[in-house]
Amino acid sequence: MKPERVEELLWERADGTITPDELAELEAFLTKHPESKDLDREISRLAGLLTPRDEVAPPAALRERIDRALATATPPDQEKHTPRAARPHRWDDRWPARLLPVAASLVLGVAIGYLLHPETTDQIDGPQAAGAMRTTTATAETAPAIVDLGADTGRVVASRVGTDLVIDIGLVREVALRLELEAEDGEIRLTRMIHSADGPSETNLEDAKLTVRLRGPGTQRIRVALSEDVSRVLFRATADGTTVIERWIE
Amino acid sequence: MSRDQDTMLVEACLRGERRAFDELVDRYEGPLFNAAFRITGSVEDAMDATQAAFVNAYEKLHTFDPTYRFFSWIYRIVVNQALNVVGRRRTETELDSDTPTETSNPEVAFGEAEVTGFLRQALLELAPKYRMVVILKHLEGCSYREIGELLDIPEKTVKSRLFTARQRMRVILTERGFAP
Repeated sequence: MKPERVEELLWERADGTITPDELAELEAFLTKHPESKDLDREISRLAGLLTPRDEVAPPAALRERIDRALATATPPDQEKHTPRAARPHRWDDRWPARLLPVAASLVLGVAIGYLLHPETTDQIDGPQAAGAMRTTTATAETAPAIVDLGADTGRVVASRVGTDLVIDIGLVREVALRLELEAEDGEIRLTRMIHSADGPSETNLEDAKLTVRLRGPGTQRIRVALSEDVSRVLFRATADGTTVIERWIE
Repeated sequence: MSRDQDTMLVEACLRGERRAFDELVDRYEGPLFNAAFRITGSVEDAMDATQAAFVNAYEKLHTFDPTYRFFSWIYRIVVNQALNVVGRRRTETELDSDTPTETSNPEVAFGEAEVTGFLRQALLELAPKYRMVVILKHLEGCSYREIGELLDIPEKTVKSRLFTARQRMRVILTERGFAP
């Protein structure tokens, strides 16, 4: 058994979440490897220290203090808030979790369809020089902009999801990719980057322009929040120095 | 109170109905105070952190995204406030030359309060993303699923962060003399 697995099982036992099979596996291992007893004791000890504390009632003075502080606090800026009805829903609110794989399959299917029938591919706006690279455009708010870099390279999918812009990048070979997002008005705020790209990744956010440089192979998801006054974002991608897409995402 | 009710209260507050925020305080004063108390170990510090969290949340309410849970949002605020309080206190303690910082056998030298103090200091040495999962799992008793919902991360990520956090805490505490 790998040391990480032993540690994981010891913690599961301490948490009370270990299954009978796992417990039998762990006990057999500890019997065969008495040197692991130290780790066992160490984890039991730490687990004993890390125990949930009983609930305590807040002192009555706390509510008075909060009320006093709120009375002099600056009210929230109502002008910067978009009422819920006017705010587009997140994907996971609008789509039940069980339908997400179906939705993902549909998106993938559309992408494959575009690959198989390039004549249906729209022309992109702005300059591009990579003839072998196919791109698609879309006008619906959440319809993805897909940049197909070829089966041996990968693809980039950019979608407007509510007030966020989500970019999924999948690269299957070594390629230098540069992505730029520029808001026509308003602000861009980087909220999340999840990546497993093997190469380095560099992000630069200045005013309303976000630039991301990364090197494949690997996958990366970038999620940026757009301020409510952003009407559209210029999305530009460059692969190995060649612009492969430059278009507005509404 | 359901998530939808929270959202309605937030929106009412954003329309200028200040009393709507009072209802949110009624609902979450207790859980937030307890979260702060578990981190700070001091009633006074927990009160400071809870008060600051409510004021921050109120003043920044227009930035709240109603597609997330209000409690998750304000919970993160109070945890950060509490950690800031502990961080400031640690800095003050380090300046006090009479405070013991090392011992060969802290179990003998320190009582329960001091052991808890060591634990808090070990927590502070963790990166925030690791610290948060340890607090939620061990001090708040949340399940992996609940932690994932609170932090808006997948359960798998919760588990991997917790694994790393526990490993680091074990090393930190061992270095401080809490070896078995």
